Amino acid sequence: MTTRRNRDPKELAPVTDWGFHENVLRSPNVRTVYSWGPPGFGKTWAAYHVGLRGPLFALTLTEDTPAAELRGHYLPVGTGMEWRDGPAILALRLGARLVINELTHGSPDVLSLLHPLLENPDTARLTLPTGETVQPARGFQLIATDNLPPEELPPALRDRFDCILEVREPHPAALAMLDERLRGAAMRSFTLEPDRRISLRGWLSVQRLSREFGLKVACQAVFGPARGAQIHDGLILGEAQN
Amino acid sequence: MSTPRNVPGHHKPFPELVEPMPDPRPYWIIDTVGKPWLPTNGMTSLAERKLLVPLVAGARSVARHELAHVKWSPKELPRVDFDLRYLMAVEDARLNLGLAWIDLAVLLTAEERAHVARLARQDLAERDLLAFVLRAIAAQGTNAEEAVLRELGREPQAVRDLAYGHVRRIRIELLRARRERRAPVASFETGLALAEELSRRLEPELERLGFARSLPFPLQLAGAGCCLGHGGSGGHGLARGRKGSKAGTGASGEPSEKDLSGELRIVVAPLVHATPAPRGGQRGRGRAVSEGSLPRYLHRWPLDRAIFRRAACVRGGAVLIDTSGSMSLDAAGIDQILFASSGAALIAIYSGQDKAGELRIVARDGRRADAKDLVPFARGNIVDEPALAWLARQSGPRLWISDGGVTGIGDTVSALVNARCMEIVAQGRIRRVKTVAEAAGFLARRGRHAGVA
Repeated sequence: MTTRRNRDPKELAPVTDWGFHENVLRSPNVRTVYSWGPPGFGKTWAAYHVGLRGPLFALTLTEDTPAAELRGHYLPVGTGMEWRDGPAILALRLGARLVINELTHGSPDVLSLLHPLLENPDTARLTLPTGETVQPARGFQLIATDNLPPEELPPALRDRFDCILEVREPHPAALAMLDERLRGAAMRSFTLEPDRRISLRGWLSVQRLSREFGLKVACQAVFGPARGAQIHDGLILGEAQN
Repeated sequence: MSTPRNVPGHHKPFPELVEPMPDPRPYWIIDTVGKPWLPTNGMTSLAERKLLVPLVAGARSVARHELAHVKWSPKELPRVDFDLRYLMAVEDARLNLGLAWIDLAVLLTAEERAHVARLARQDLAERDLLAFVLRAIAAQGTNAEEAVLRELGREPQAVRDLAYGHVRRIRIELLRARRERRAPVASFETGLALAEELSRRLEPELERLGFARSLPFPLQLAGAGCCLGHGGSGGHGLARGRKGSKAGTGASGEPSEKDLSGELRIVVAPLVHATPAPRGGQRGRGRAVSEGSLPRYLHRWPLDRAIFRRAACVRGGAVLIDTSGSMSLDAAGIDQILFASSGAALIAIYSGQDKAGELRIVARDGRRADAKDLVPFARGNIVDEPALAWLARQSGPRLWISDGGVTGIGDTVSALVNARCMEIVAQGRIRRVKTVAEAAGFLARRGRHAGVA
């Protein structure tokens, strides 16, 4: 959840309270979370690591991902067919955390399957083609991540999330991986409009490559010749004394 | 050999990384390419947080110089009791020398240097020594300074001494002040004092040699700064040719305002609604078949053995709708187009007013905007040309829903704008249709429609 109210435009105070985010992800009372924000800010990292109590299942949706890939399907074994649970059913059975990346890319097929998984514990259940009905075991969590706001989700799906977390800044631990030289510039680049925004991933790549090639070549390698040159000019001029 | 691809977004500078104090409000980066009415091809407004630079390859020097304004110039120039252009020239020299000191020198291309030299030659030919001196001062710290000063070669000794003397003095003073500060640039106050002294000393000397004491055109035509005059488009702070005339095609062959298109701003409306599924199916999805190479639906094996996926035919396309005047679009119209294109069409509306317009993306990737976001920006055209250029960059088929009338700045009809638009339409393989229904029909039939264009 963000706190952007009454901000002095002159200051660059954090707009994402990561402490709050982590508390939400760690809470045993939070079962379903929709975490969204620009790419490269650590949504997936937090979903995989923060407050993880048991097994973790993760998958990334595409338009072609069938619901059967989440739920499970029959497989021919020998002369017969055998049912194989998908990650969603396994997570339900084991009380595990299920992380679904790029939720809005999912087909209606997949999004409909998620409805029963996102229900309250009293009503969440899914009857498989085998006839078995699976209910979520204690500890089951579903965390969905995406770049798009919740308004992009179908209303029925959106309504089923316990919490909606907006991430507008990278995780402080991830930011701390940047050296002093790049950190200040990186902080300024997160608030830019989408076509000029630079993700933390990009800055980390520059840092890694600049040790071998120098800053100028690293910028060009990571961002391309034209954009890299502009970013390099900005960095050098930004460092210069006033 | 193929032409290199130019993506304007790749050439956008990052003034936010440069400004002394962080500010979460991003700068508005405006492309100056194809806008000869601007006083110069590089300008900065620190107060309004606008940066105007050419977003093309080879214009990096312009962006560098403007970034230096963001870094080292004050938010507003002070009120002075001498011609502000003295200060602008000295300020440019101060910044260019600072950029050279940190290895980001303003390096003009050979063509740009030739352009600056031509302007300097013209200054001397018109006996405008003041403009020449200011231009030579502004060129300090760039690779154009030699080209400018070389033009003095044929001038009498007295003229050469005057010009060299002032240019050298400003340069030495700026470098000395920088050394004393132990910083890349001299302070702005030093530049201000130098500009004032320059105006005080230069004007009587010019008069003594029989030259004009002041610049021959008023200050408001001089633009916001960057007096060097790099870049070949249009006039500039110390460039010649405008002579106070803002409209009408002059002897120089410059197009008038009505022959130019307005500034286009591209925005994306919140795409809050999902597309209705076309013909009961689902957008862009394949269907299960019993033959193929990669099994995707193994759960169907015991049912019908249709475990393979065959890609669905997604029609796609881009539709640009002129919403000026009587043309309009409602939510049902968008749905009609999306339905016909299997939900894959990109739909944008555009209109304009005065010197600017807006292109608003109202449907993309199977989602569309709310009806409240379909209200046109304004009632005029103005930006047909840049909007069509945008459409030409999208993947086909490309449809333009319009009555075919195009206008430029001021919403006036212009043969030149019309010719340029028709060229974009031809080169971009854009098909013009008159109504939403025709566009939907074309997308549904995938090109078998006989449009009007």
